[in-house]
Amino acid sequence: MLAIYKRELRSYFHSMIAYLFIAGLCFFIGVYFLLVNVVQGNVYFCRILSNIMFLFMFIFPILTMRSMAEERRSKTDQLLLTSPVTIPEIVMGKFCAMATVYAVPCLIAAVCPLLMLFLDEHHLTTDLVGIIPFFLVGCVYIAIGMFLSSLTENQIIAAALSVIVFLLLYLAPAFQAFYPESALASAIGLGVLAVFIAFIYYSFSKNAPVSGGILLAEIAAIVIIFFAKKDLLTGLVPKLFESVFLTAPLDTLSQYQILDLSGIVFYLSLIGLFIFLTVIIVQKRRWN
Amino acid sequence: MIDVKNLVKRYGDHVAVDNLTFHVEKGQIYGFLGANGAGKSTTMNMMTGYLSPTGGQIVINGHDITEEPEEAKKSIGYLPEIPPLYMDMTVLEYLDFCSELKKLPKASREDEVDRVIAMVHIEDVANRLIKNLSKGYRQRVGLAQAILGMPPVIILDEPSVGLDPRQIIEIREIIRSLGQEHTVILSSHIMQEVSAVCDHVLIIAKGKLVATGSPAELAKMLAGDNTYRMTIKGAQDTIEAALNKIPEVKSVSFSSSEEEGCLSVLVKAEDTKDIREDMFMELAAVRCPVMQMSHESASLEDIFLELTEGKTASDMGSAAEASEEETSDASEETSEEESEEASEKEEE
Repeated sequence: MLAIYKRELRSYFHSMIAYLFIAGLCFFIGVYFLLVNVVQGNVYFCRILSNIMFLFMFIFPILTMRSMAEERRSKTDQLLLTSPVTIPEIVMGKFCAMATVYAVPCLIAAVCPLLMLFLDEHHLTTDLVGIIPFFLVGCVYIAIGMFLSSLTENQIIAAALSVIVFLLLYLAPAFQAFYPESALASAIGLGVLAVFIAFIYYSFSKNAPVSGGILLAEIAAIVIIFFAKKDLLTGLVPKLFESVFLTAPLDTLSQYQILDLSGIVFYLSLIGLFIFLTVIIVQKRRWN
Repeated sequence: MIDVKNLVKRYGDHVAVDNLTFHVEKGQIYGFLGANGAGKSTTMNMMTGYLSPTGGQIVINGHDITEEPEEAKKSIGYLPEIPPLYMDMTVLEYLDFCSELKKLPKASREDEVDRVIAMVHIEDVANRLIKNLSKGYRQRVGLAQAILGMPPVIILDEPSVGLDPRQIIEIREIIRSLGQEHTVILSSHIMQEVSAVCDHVLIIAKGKLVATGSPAELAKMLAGDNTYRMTIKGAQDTIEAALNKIPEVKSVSFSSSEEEGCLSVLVKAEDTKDIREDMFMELAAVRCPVMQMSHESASLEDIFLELTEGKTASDMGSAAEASEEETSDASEETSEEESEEASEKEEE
């Protein structure tokens, strides 16, 4: 794992990618810091961290798009997979290398709260602690981006997929606000989700009867719940949207100065989930 | 050393490798011979743990590749069809990375990298970026990677493809020298290449093992009789009697010819010598003019192609245990023959 970690890290710093990524993030952190904290006089640095997250959808694909896709395109995955290292080690090595690259702007960002010590009112501990969820959210993006990169051998497709998924994540609060509360709306929403799940299953197994069966079972379940226990469906989809609010823990921190531990656990589980899914994808490809 | 039993790989309905079973002994050079798409690369990818088999078992150095992948992979060095090189690294960086990836002991890594660099003669380019190297050098860097750490088994997928003739000779020499200490398995679709370097050949067609044996055994099996096609003026009995005086002649068959008073004659003879002069003299003695004579020959590749496309292991048996009968059956079926060309090639 260490060998892969070191190689990835070196490769990021040999190419423009790491510098582009770090410079981009630092630039926007600096601009926001200047505008919000210095000019407007907001006393919380961690507030801007949650604002900056909208940039993630453009910046993180730069970092993650090549992680797994390039390996397959250049056939170097043959070297890794025939070496005495396990697939989780390979994936973890890559993830840790990207997380390390991302840690650089996070550490640079820690300078801003220190600068705020010169102001009359400052909240050094809150702001410094705020960098932890900021770092973890980024790691969630890295894990998702890496997973999407493992689906294809084309970097551009990986990047486009990442932008779309990150955009959906970013827009989740907007969707939630607009989505009707009614049970029927939730049923339709779940129906779409059911089709999506069946499609994913089909694309993995190429087993049409089983995929069809899964779809029918899901729709039957939704219909039964709709007629038997309508209350259960009321407001369900908005709640689902709420569960993917990645900014929530950061917002809690900046508004109430509370570090939301459940949020941290949520981030860690998402990271674990997508690393695991990446391993599954790589493993599964060996079987086709 | 390596035991492959009933290996199967299916992609949907397509069977890429079909019930392949073979055994590889220590310290020899094995060649996988087969047309493109015969399943050579798939088999190698499964042996090295890159792909998972649909069925069957692969045991390398006592370790099952699916059950103890790490231990099994430690004893293999693999050069895939396309060398797995990172273009943004220098040769030295790349080999250092590989030695770490292969978990070589830290103390010996540097010496080991120096040793393989010297072995494949890439000292001059050691500090250059891999993306700036030519195809031949890239192939050598890939080979250096495969032999890092002296793995007991070295698997090379088409090691000489895309190289110029001089580089091919060099790579073959390296492979031969490797064969003294390692078990080497290489694949190729070129008969000459395999017969030039390998102690043992496995011919694969459509995912099945068609024949195995040493190059000499296979050459004997693949080589047919000498066939001569002639147009001779004269009576059938006279011609037959004259030709049968030559001890090498095995059979003479006649058919009608377009030319008046002539016969088309097909002579099959043992491939020990060229009997064209003898036939001419004998026919001249009985005053039967030879209007036309041609010596039919097929290249080794043609025969090999016919073998790999026409038959499977069940009809063929393996050459190692093939009896004389089977050999002659096979050669009759292949019906083509090669003598001069083949012997010339062997001399080369």
